[in-house]
Amino acid sequence: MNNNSINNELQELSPALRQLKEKQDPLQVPTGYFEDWHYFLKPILESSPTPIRMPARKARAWLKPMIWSSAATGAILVAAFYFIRTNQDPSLEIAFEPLTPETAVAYVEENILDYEPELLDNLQEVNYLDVAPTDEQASPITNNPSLTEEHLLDALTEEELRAYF
Amino acid sequence: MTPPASKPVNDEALLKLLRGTPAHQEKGFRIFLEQYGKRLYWHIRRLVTFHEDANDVFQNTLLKIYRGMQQFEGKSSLFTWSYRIATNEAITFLQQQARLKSESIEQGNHQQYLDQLRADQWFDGDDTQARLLAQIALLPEKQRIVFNLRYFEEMPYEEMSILLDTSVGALKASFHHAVKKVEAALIQ
Repeated sequence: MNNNSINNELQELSPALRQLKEKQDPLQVPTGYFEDWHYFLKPILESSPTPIRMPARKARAWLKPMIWSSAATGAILVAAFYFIRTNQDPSLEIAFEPLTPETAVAYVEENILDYEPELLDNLQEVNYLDVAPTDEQASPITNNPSLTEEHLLDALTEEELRAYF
Repeated sequence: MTPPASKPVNDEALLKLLRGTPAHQEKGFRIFLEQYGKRLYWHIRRLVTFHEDANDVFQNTLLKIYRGMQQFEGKSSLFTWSYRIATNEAITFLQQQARLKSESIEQGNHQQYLDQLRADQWFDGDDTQARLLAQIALLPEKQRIVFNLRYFEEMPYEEMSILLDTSVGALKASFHHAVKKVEAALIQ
């Protein structure tokens, strides 16, 4: 059908070409060229590495929640580990040294370029122990009537005391 | 010798093999060659004319198809996709040849082309057939492809339209122009 179609088309367009088409194809190939496909396959398979096999999209989509949940679990475990460790090991607690006026002035002079010298003078005059504790704050615990041994024992029930002793 | 496949294997089954284990890939590519190899070779041969050149381009084409198989998205048929690779490879080869020779066939190399063709051991035609091939080689790239597909491969315009991504009307016009040019040169 296709052959008739092209022949009809050529008959209208160019009878000379139509006639020429009937002749045997002048282009030849070596004998057996198309018979042994291994001739073509061998160099391709030898020269090129096996193409990387991409995982199927479905498999990757299926794996994604697992990957994310594993990552989240891992992050939670690491955070919990550090939280517990920080609270148990006193050496990991942040230590604050008392800040003296001399240290503060030295720091400002060394690190801050834009400052007013008067402010530093005032800073040195500040008495950091000006604020004295109240009598109640300064008194020992035993002076507090609400915290005496008798008062505390009175606050406990008999059962609680038995359980304690 | 590999016996030809009795029943064509569809794209889906073929791709499954080609994306499988190395042994499956080899089997799949062998089936691919049995089904499409001959047509791909002749498509290339019509464009580059000489067997040695066609053989090189064919090998490169097969290598590209083999390596690109993993990225094949299935937007067109496997054959159409392969045909496009073959066409591009052949055109690239011709462009490289033209650059190497620093002149195209249109610049007075016509007689040399004819002489080369007559001396070629894989050309077994008369003078008119040699002149026909030389005239086809003179056609602009797109017209040459359309002429070969229609005249030698007898491809329907509808199939050609998908392959070349061109309307049927434009392809018919292109073929008619090509026929008239070749005919005029042969009559001279």
